[in-house]
This record gives sequence, structure tokens and C-alpha cells, in this order.
Amino acid sequence: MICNECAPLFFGDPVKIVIAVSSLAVALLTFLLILKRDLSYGVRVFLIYLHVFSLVFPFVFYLFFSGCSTLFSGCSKIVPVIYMLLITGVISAIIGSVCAPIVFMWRSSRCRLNDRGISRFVCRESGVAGIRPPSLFIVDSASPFAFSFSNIRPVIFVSVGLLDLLGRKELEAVLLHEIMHIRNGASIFRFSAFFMRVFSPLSMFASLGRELDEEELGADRYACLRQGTSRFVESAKRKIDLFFYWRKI
Amino acid sequence: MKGIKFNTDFESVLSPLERDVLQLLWPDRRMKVRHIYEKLRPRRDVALSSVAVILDRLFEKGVVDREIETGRGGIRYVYYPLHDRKQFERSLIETTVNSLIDRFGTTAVSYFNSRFGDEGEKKK
Repeated sequence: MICNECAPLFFGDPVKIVIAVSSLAVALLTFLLILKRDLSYGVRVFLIYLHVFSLVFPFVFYLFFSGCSTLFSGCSKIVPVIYMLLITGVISAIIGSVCAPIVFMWRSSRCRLNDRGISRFVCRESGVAGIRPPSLFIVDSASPFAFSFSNIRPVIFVSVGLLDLLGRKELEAVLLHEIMHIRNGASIFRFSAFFMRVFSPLSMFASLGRELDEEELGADRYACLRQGTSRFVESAKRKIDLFFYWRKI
Repeated sequence: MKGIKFNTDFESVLSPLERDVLQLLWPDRRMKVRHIYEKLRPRRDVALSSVAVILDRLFEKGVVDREIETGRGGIRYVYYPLHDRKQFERSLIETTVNSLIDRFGTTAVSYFNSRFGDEGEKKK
């Protein structure tokens, strides 16, 4: 549906210009914040998505309100605004899922995990799992965590806090867990699950949480199977849980 | 001197474990988490995770700093104190006095004047 009621041109309307410029200002601000050293993983990911959103928004805004006609809406303003936000959300979620690993790799590029023993272990185990050997990166954070991406090429990130806490075998258990995530394409699955939860009303009927938990358990089982014992997976989990328990107090 | 970011409720400036960790760091200067844990373990029942949390908290408060160090044991954080014991105590007094002045304004200043003025007179 197209409304033919003529509105001022995009660049002649100060309100539209202020909205677009404010969005670009938010993009700049979030970019500067992303460069900060002492950010937690969650906050950095949130800022990356917010940055992409505020960067994409002015372009979608321009496409929707550039001429005399407003798409999809009749003459209502609410419907195109909803469509515009949804489309911006979809585009920025897709771009963000590609950008986030790149930002993390770039931030960690000076901290590649150059431990020969660990690299050899990961190479051997990724061969067993039938995946390309992932690159290993260090995240400068005292919180113990590890995560992986397989969007462009397989990458595993390990925090220094995790290396501080875990012994060699426990670290191997975590790496095996992440290798399994890469083999399962878990980062793509997690992204899709998040995407579905946010945008699809049908997600309430899908048991995504349970499937994600099962995927986690499967990765744990794989690590136990490869190590021939559940001892190291359990002790690694215990140490990580204890850290976050103490952190809350 | 770099200011220490304390919660100004001064009863909770340092927990007992934070104090123990700092006692270890002051003479030895640069230590890894596991090293601190091994030194503390004979004295008190403590977990490695708790020591890591305490060090991270001290880092956030600006009491200690850390660097990533690659050694034979792999990549680890090495923690070191930003202030020696005397500087730390001075900084603590400064922060506490500033917070009192911020909170109570002229009342705090006149209290300090009368209190330390009286003590100065008594000493004379």
C-alpha cells in the first residue's frame, strides 16, 4: 500500500535529519565504547549489535521516508515505523552475527594462544571431530569463560581467567566441549534461536531452551567420552560455577 | 597518586580475604593467582576460584593491577599492587576524609578543625 499524501523531502525535513544524525552519533559512541579495554563479553556483544543497528537505521529510515510516498502504510505512520524497526533489526542481527567474531578476533589479535601443546591438542581433536582446526584466541578478562564461532572460520576464544583457574586436563575438557559446538554449528543455531525468540511469535511453541541445553549436554558428553572420564568436565564446571557464585556475593 | 575507587561505607573497605591477599602481594610484588592460592591455603580454607574473584575485585577497585604473562605454565595474569602499604593507607584516609566532607560539608570541616585544633593545643 502506498500513501500519496506528500510529505517534505527527506533532506528538507529537520526532524528526519535529526533522527538520522542522532542514530549515527549513537553508532560513533558505541564504536568508541567497543574499543574500550575493560568490557565484559556480554556488554561488548550488546554494543556491537547496537552499533550495527544504529549504523543501518538511517539507511532504512531513508528508504522508507525518502519521497512523497510511505510504503506499506496507507497514511498511517505507526505501521511503517514498526516495519522499519523490524527490517533494521533483521539486517543488523545478520550483520552483527558476522561482525561480532571479527571484532573479538581483532581485539584478541595480539593475544593468540601460542601454546604448542594446546595447539597440537586442538589440531588433533578437530581432526577426530572432522572439522577444520580452529584458531585459538585469548580474551583479556578475569571471568572464566570460553566460546566459539564457526560463522566464517572456526575460532575458539578462551579468557585468561579460565587459564588461571583450570588445570591442563580441565582446559582440554573445555576445548573438546567447544570443538563439539563448532561441529554442531552451535553458534549459528544459537543465533537462529535468539532470532526466533525475538521476532517470531511461534517461538513460544518451540522448545528452543531445551534444545540448547541438550546441545550443551551433548558437548559435555563428547568431552567426557574423548577423555574417558567425566572428572575433568565436572571439576572445570565446579570451578567456573564457584567463581560466578563468589562474584555475585 | 591514582585514587582508589572504594565504596565509601568504610566498614566494607576490605574483606578479610582481600586483606590477606594484599598482605601477600605487598612484599612479593608480582604473583599469579595460583601462587597466591598456594600461599594462602595452609593458613585458611580457601578455593582457587575465590582467590581469582578477590584479585579481580581488587583490580576493579584500583588497588592492584595485572598483566598477561606468557611463561612455562602458559598464559596467566600476574597481579601486583599499585601502591605500597604506606601509600595505600594514605589513599584510604584521603578517600574516607573526602567522602566525609562530601557527605557532611561544613559540619565535617568544622568537626575536623575543632578535633585536630584541640589535639594540637593539648600537645602544645
